[in-house]
Amino acid sequence: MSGTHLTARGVGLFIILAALFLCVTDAPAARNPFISSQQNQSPPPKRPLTGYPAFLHPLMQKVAVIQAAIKQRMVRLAKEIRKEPFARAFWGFMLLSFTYGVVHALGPGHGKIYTCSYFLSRPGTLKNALLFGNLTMLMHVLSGSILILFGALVLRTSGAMTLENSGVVLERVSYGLLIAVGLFIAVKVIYEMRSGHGHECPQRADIKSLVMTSLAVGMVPCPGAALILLFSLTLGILAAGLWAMLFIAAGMAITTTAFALSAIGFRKSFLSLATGNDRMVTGVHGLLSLGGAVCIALLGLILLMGSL
Amino acid sequence: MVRRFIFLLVLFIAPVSQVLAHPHAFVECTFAFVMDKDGLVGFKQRWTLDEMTTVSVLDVVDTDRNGMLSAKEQIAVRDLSVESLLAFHYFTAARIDGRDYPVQSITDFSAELNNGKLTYEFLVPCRVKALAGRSQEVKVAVYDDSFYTFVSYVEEGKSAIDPSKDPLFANRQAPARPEDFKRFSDAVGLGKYKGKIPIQGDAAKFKIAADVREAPEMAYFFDQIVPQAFILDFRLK
Repeated sequence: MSGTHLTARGVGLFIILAALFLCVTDAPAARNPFISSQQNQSPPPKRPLTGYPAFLHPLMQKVAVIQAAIKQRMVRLAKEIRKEPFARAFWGFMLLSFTYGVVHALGPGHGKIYTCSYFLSRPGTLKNALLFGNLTMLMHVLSGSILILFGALVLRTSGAMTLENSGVVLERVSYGLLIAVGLFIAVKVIYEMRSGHGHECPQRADIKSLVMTSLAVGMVPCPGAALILLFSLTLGILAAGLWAMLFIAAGMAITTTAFALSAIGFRKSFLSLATGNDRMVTGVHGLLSLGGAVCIALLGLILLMGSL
Repeated sequence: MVRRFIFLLVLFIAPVSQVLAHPHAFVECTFAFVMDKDGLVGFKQRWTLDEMTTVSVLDVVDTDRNGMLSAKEQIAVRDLSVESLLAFHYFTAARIDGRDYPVQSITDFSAELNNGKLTYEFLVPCRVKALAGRSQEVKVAVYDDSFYTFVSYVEEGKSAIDPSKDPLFANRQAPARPEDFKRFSDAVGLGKYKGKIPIQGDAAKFKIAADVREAPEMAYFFDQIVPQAFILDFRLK
């Protein structure tokens, strides 16, 4: 009796959680409205579907001001760095970059939903979470930086425009890869369950699918970091800009790892509800594994269709 | 245990996640209604872009990399802005007597570069003929629906977001207090726009009332931000 009760509650909680995650997803990568060309403008930005309660409204204003203040401090420090490259201003710039990274990764996009889905779907350890967080965010910052530098130094055109145009392509490739990774994990889970290993619950994620998901998520360039690199490049403090990218990636990795850990903890506590009942363990394990994998594939599909 | 987890997750993910990363760009906007003898002509706007956003635009248009805008580059800025901002309706949302007025074009665009900041000036045409018998209401708010950009209104010749105007700016000894944000926003001129609402052109024939109010019906970005709207009521005298 209590088993049925638990399962019903579990399903309910899972649906709530899934709905919450969906709130976080409705955010394709940001376009710079000042330089987006016609070719990457279809579709024009749509009004998001989800809403938040009124008590959060003042928060938005506040957040915007805080970000404005961070950016202004960075602009001032950057000008000081130009005069004295490795003085105090340099470390101030790095500290702000790190803070910016932590805060920035909390925003829409940046792969949090995939991080959570992945670690709901596969078991994970602290090491896995750290690897995933750092690898994803390093890629996320690296891909934007490469585009900016390639556009500016190799093509000798505009780094900003290269980022805007190639960003769209990379985004689509990433969504496509995520569909593939999601399906791959789903098929694997079904295979495991059918062959009777479903209840064995491996304790660690398999590194191959972790790295795949991480790279697929991270390849979408991070516009926030890229803008800071471009600014540094224009001001002639490229070295400081490149160091700042590392600090931003480290900051963003902290946030992403935190999300990964919360998903791992959630999965564990969810499974522990069913301890002692083999059929329940298999059921919950299957639900989480398949649900997370399907989530990854489905979100990839939704975002891909939205970007075409 | 699970309840606590759900609670933590709700706390952690739902409210903050959508909120914190944006915006990337900051624009200070000076706004004016423009009238002629028949009624409203449109809205004149001047935008000052922050330094980083300026760099991203210059990176595209300043082809000789001299940090200045030549005549040719001025035209490039105009073409780029008119084209790119179209999908964003030039950040201008307007309602005439409660009906949406979709903004599709701008005219008289000019660009300047001062102290590392780009300034755009242009007119958003919105022709509303004045009526004799009744007042018409035109409501306009300037904001970026995608929240990539945060637009703040400023009065002619003033600057809105300048954290250094806060008396405790960069003062590390100052202890954190609950009234910090209010002090900060008052000092840097955020919050409600209290400046003038300029009406340019030939307004002598009309009875006019202008105001700035919050417009909940124009709330954007997940309905989390309620913009302030300029409101013009006018009719023939």
